[in-house]
This record gives sequence, structure tokens and C-alpha cells, in this order.
Amino acid sequence: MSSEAYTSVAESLEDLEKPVLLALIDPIRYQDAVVGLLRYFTAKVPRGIYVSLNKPFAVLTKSFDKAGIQTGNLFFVDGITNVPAIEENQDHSCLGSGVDLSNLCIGISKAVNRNADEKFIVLDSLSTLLIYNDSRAVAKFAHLLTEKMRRWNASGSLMTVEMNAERDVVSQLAPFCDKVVKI
Amino acid sequence: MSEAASTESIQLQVLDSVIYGAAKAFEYLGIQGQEMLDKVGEGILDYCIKKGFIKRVDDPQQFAFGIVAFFKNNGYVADVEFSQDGEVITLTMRDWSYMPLLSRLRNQNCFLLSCPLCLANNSLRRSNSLGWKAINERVTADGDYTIQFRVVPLSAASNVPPEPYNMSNVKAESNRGKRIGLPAFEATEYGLARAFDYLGAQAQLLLDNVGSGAVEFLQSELHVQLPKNHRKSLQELSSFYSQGGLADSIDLNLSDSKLEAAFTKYRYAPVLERLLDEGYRLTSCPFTLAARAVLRNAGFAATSMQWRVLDDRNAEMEMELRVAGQEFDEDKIGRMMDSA
Repeated sequence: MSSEAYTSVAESLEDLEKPVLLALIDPIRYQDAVVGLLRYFTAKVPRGIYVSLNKPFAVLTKSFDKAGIQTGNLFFVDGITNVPAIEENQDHSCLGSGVDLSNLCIGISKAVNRNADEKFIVLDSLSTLLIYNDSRAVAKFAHLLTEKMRRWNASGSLMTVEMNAERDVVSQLAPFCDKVVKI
Repeated sequence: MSEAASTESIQLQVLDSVIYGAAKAFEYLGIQGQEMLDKVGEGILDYCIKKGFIKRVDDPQQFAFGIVAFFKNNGYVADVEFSQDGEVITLTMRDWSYMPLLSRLRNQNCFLLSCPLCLANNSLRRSNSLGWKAINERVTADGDYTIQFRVVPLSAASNVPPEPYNMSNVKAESNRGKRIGLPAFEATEYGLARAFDYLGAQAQLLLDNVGSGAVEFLQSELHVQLPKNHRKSLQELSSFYSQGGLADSIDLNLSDSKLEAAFTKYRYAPVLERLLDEGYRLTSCPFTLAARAVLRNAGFAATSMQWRVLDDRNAEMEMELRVAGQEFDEDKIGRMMDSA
């Protein structure tokens, strides 16, 4: 299944050099889609930043390792693990659960500025942000992030799982992304 | 058979509110929504087996009979008549508690099936790589429901409901005053909380959709009056769910930044305890799901929920709130990002 998701991403993006992608994910295929996306980006770009608002980085690294994805070159920005204060480590930073949009933006910037290497950014996911924020604020956040990704010369993907709550965000964001891919 | 005959019960409407909400929550996915709902069945079976309500047996048909017996013992269905002719199965459900919901959902063009007994059986079939394809269905004047279906290899095209039977003339008796055994309530609630854990925190959005559906059910089916004032609405919800037996009392303390709820003799406590022990983050308490929907409609977002299970089936919940429409200043934050 992950190869199906990978093929679908790779085919959709074959003409684009540094794509910024909006991935609309079928909730049934969420895990396969995440692995497929990461497989695509890790094959193209040596380093990556994985912004997780859904699962703690410790859980993710295990499941990515199991799926055969090299996590050594990934830096995790974790917005789900409960920590008393922001924690920074070699391979991850923890911003705390329910992090607000401004702190999330700053957390991502810091991760990007850790080194000058070319990198990709995967945000998992806009849907989680919709639990705590209205769709207008989430759309503005996503717009700002895509703009910064272009300035940082980074490719990547903003993920949104189809939950019947994100239609506004998708229609507002689609014009700022190179491609909208349904997985 | 070890299927538990229940001694303690809860009003069916408490469970109905969330299973109605669940069917509505996945309607947007079309028939694929059934695959999501069937995940609830996995948790139902898991809970029943772990608690010793149902014994796992290798023979799928005997296992299915065990599931039926469990729901019968818990008062969810009076009888299920089963016959098989090759791959074609005919089931007749008598005094099936899901009938009023089925009728209501079908009349709203919602064809998803959220009956806990069916979800558990669907899940069992799925675990054997099997699905079903309906051939036809009928409902008698006294509300007995018969479905004929073919067992097929599992694929996207399976678990498809029949050509919609016109239910507008079906007079399904309301579930008002009916009760269901606590084990069946617990198993269904556990299944609902656990079903979407693989999605991580974002699964709360799905459970929030269930909560919105529950509120819709309370208002449209049970005519519970939920005033625009969210404080009064929460009190109404607390009264409704306490009277339904979810807890002997649900005491609330609401400020602009926090909702605290103290549950006395909370019938959801065994489920909550198990979920917390097993490390699950999501919960499915019907009151809490409905309360989140009311708060969301009033412009609040719940940023975190903390639970404490006390002794003697008492529990406390603390939900942190913030105003959902907080501004996001792109220019200002953009500058902060540049200097980060």
C-alpha cells in the first residue's frame, strides 16, 4: 500500500523540481500515505523536518524505522508530547501539546536554521490544527509556511486528512501550492 | 457460552446519541465511511474478549453466534434468526434496538450502519478477509427486519447496503425508556474511542463530528432544548445524561478558560480506566463529546482534556478552553520567524 501512495505522489510531482504539495489524505489510508510521502521526499532530498502534531516523535521514529525509512537525517518538531517547557535535542524539539500557531511557526524556523543543508518539510497535519483553531487562522498559517518554504528553498508537503472540517482550508490553500494530490 | 448476562443497565438513548452521531460523522465519506465505522467493531470485540464477555473461538460462525448472544443478553435485540444457503445468508432481527435509528438515518439518506452488533460482526468478517454484499432487505409491520446478503471476499465493493428500502412508512418504536446492559454500552464506547487511534491526535476531529451528531440527535429526536447560552446548554446536557444513567450526577464548573466536570457513579469509568491504562489519548464519553460540540458552537476550542479516575466509579475531567477565533498576524509572525 505504501508503494501505491509513493507511486501516486511520484507520478503527480514528476515535473516539479522542488514541489510544495498539499496532500489530501483519505483517513483510511493515513499511515500508508505518510510513509509514501516520506519515502518520496527522503529519496529526493538528503535532510528533512517532520512536524508532528499527531503522534509523539518517539512513536513515529519507531514506525518509520519499521517501514524502512532512514530517520537519521530527519529532525522532528513535536507538537504533541507533553513537556513542561520547550525541549531541544539533537534529533527533535518538543513544543508541547496544543501548541499555538505562532510558537509552531517559530519552532519550525528554528529547526530550519539548525543548518544550511537543503531540506524538505512535512507538516502532519493541518487537520490537527483545526481542532484548536478556526479555519481562517489555519489557512493564514499554512499560507505563511508555504511562503517561507519557498524562501528557504525547501520542498515539502502540508498534509490534511479528509475529516469533513477542512474544506475551507483546502480551497484557500490550493493556489499557494504547486500541486494538490489526493492520496 | 460465556456471554455476560448484564445485571446493570443504562438508558439506550445515551448510547443511541453517539451511535447516531457516528453514522452521521462518516457520511461525508460515502460508502467508504462504513470501513471507518467497522473499525469500531474491532474495539468492541477486543473489549468483550478482554473482559471475558465473549470467548474467542476459531470457528467464525460460532464466534458470530457468541457476539449475537452477548447483545441479546444485554437487551439490544430480542432474537436473531439465521439461515444459510451456500454463500447467501438471511438474518431476521426481532425487536432490534437499532431499528428506530436505522429508519431515521435511512430517511435522511444516510446508508451507513452503526449498530454495534453489526459493527462487531463486520469486523469479525474483515479479520477473515470477508465482506458482505446485500441482496435485499424488508421490514414487517411490527418492525422485524430481515436482510439477505452474500458473503464475498473483502474489497472496496463489499459491505455495501442494499438498494435502499423505503423506510418512510416504517413505524419503528422509539427507544424512549428502553435500557441496554452496561457491558454492551461499555464495549461500544471502548470501540468508538479506540477505533481511530491510528490517526493520532487529529482523530479528535472525527470524535468531534460524532459529538455534533449526538447533539443533533438530542435536539431533533429527543427534543432536548439546548439554549443558545452554552452554560445553560451544558447544564441541560448534564441533566439529560445523568437521567439516562451515564452518571448519578455530573457537576460542572465553567469559566472562560476551563470546564471541570465531576462524575459520580460514572458508568463510563471502566472504559475510561482501561483506555488510560492502555495509553489511549482519545475518549468517547457521550456527555463530553456533546459538551465539546456545544462549546465549539459557542466559539471555544478545547486544547487539552485531563481525566482522573477516583475510587468507587467517580471521575473528574478538566478541559482547557481557548477562544477559537484568535487572530493570526502573518506579517508579525513572519518577522519573528525570520529572526528565530
